[in-house]
Amino acid sequence: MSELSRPSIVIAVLLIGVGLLGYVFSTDAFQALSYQLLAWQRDLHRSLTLAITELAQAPTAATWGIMVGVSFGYGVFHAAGPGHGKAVLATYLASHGGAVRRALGLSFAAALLQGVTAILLVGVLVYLLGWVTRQAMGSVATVEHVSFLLVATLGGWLCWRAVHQLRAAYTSQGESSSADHGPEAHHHCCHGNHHIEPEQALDKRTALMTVVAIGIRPCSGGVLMVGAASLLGNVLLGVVAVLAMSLGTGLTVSLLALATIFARDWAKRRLAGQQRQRGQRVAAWLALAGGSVIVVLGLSLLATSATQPVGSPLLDEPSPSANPLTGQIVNDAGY
Amino acid sequence: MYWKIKRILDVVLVTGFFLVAPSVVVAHPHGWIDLSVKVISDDQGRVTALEQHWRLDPFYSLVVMEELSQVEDASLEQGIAALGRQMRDNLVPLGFFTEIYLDGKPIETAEVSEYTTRLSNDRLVFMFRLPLATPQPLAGSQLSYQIYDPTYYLEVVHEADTQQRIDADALTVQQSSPECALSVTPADPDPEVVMRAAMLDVDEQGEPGLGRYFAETGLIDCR
Repeated sequence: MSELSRPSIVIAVLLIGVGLLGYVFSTDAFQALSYQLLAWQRDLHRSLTLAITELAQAPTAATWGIMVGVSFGYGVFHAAGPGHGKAVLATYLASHGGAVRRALGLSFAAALLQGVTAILLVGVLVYLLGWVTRQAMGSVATVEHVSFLLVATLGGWLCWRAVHQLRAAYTSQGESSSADHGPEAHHHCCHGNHHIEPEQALDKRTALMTVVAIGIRPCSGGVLMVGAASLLGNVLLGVVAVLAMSLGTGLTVSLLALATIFARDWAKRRLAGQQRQRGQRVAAWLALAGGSVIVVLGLSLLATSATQPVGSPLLDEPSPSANPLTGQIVNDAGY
Repeated sequence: MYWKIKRILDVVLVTGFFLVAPSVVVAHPHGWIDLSVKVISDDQGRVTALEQHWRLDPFYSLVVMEELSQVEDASLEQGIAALGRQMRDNLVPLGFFTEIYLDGKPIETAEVSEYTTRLSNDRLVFMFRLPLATPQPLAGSQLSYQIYDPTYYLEVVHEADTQQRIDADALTVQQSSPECALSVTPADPDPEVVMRAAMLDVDEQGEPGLGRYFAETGLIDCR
């Protein structure tokens, strides 16, 4: 009896927790904090621009130190602002499992990939293809769409897997003579620790796709930073700044990821001793729910990204043939 | 397996996170404009225009200059001039980011015909005169203005030192008169209002844009 009531107690406690969290987030203090974060971010953005400009003119150990520090701080607060990466990662970790190491690994990998994408965009588009920096910044919007599509695809894939798990969980009920083994595990199990089971390999693939889906999207600010540094004659500056920024972002994102993991582990301990059969089904339904949330997230991001400003309202959209003197500029009014 | 049940709880947790997440989703500016304003008046002391100097931030200046340097068959000067025309054309539908009030009531502006662009210390400076539709006498009145990018992609701030103290010449008048006090008030928005506006943006309701909440207010008080 106490076995049965345990989940409901845990759920009740968590619901209260979420309620409290929601309350805290809606309070003045929290909104003041969000506002403060925005103010810091804005100041850091300006400091960073000036630091890089100065450093390009007079590089010393001290100015380098300041620049790296400001970049790192900017990354920390930047991750506290807009961005879908955290939401996708948290949903993935919550609905598909993962240990502390994995949570940290995914967070930092995604954050670093974001920085690397910004660097690569400038490297390929500006250095190899000869685009101007502002065009490269414009391409961020395209890459963003790819990222959102990948998020939706990832969600779809997770859903598809969950449906398979569901079918397995429900069909194994009748033929449960083989007792303890899962429906698929017994084909390949017991081959020792070094053997990577299909399930594990799949997990690695979904983890990789999660990192790619959220990491492929660079910040246009990062692209601007690398581009401007290269225009100032020291592209290394921009690369270092963007990487320091990514580390800062990784720090913030991993805090959220860890919070998700700890919440899970707590629940896991509370629920020790649950029946396996039921657990499998619940897990499959949950994987489906998590996958669906990620699909919705990807699609809604895709839908809203069209309404976000992608460039300075002062200037026309840069295009490869843009020539302000001959009037060949394509003026995308309202874009 | 018992450990899988926890996932339902996690989803509950994450759903909770989603419910509150919009409150932290706030756009931030990607560049800024250092602004100075000169109030232009006619020989009868009536205000006829606001002359504005927009100094684009170093990075934006850099990338714009890069673009100009790649245009063939044209000098840099021609390029900069063409850029000024482009900026003016793009700013017409946006009302030059400017809202002007006389004693709290909005007043109309006219077409911008005087504008120039130049390069100063590697910063691109865009200057223009925004005329008032009808000249306004200032005696006994209060003229105020706000200049901001509604999308908050760009932040428009009066020229200030590193301590964010606004420079004395960020707001000047052509004909100074002892009765008029000049001041620039920094934005001091209520965080709650800003966050609510940020959430409104998601559903495309209400007046779009965060920029207004961060706009500084210039005031010429002749009362």
